[in-house]
Amino acid sequence: MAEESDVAAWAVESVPDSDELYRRVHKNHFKPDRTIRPGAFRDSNLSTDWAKYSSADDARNRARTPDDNAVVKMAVNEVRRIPDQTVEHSPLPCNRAHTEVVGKKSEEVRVLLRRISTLVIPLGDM
Amino acid sequence: MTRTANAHWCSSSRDAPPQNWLEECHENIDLGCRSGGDEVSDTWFWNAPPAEADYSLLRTTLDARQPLPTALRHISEVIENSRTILQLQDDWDEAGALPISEQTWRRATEFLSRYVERVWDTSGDALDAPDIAPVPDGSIDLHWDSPTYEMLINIPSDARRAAGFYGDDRDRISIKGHFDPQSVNEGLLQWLRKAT
Repeated sequence: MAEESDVAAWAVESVPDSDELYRRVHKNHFKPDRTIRPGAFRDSNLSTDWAKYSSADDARNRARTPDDNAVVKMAVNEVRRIPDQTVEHSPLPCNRAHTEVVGKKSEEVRVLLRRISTLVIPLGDM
Repeated sequence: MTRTANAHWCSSSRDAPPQNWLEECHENIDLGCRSGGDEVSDTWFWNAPPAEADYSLLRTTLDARQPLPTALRHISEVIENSRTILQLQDDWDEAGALPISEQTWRRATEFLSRYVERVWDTSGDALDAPDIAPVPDGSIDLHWDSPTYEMLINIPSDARRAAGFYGDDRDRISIKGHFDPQSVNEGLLQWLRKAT
């Protein structure tokens, strides 16, 4: 079986509402009380990993420094209920799970994305 | 279904909004719901010119010569502690984040100081301290997060751009919009009084 990195392009799939996304959160996006800051959800094309093709550990281990990152999960149907946000599978040659939450990240959107996020891998010691 | 409305106060005069303006706004939201519309777009915006009073920087971290009311010490502490975000280097989130400039930090903390003092001077209430946080685009977030309300204000790195805000009561009442952080927006101030 070919390694993922050997594959030039993965087919783009539609992401079902019933699925989940993983998002890495760097330690600098945590408050002193260890809750996540809304700044963790700023990118217009917010990178996540689709749980169909990635575990939470996989998502964390793709970071340059995995120990400096936590992982949250978000339900796709809840993301789609947030104003002006779409969920688009955008696989990379090295990461079939790569999926983006596309749309302007206003203050409202960032608050709501933070609210629907559940920590699945916490940070180590900060 | 949760409904959201822009809740700004609009007036061509310098008169401040009435004390119950938010309640009046809520009534309009209810009317909108009863009329069957899914979206409520009633908008008020209070465009008052800058107040004549000089809301100087908080009598705290930024001018230690002035005595600070004990009730506001928690604000000065959070401002002082937030200086650490100025030490963040390029790529501080391993995803290309920009550093935070001294100018942006100063505008964010001056804004906070101005509003804290305004609330203190007019009501004797002390705002809760927000989290002062770096954002990957070089802007700064002020975030209040409590069981009964949440408010996020973003001070952009470009001083020519308006600041953005969003707040809600975790139920059906919310407020959002943009404003000039150099002046006092009475509508936003009314909402921030929740944070006391």
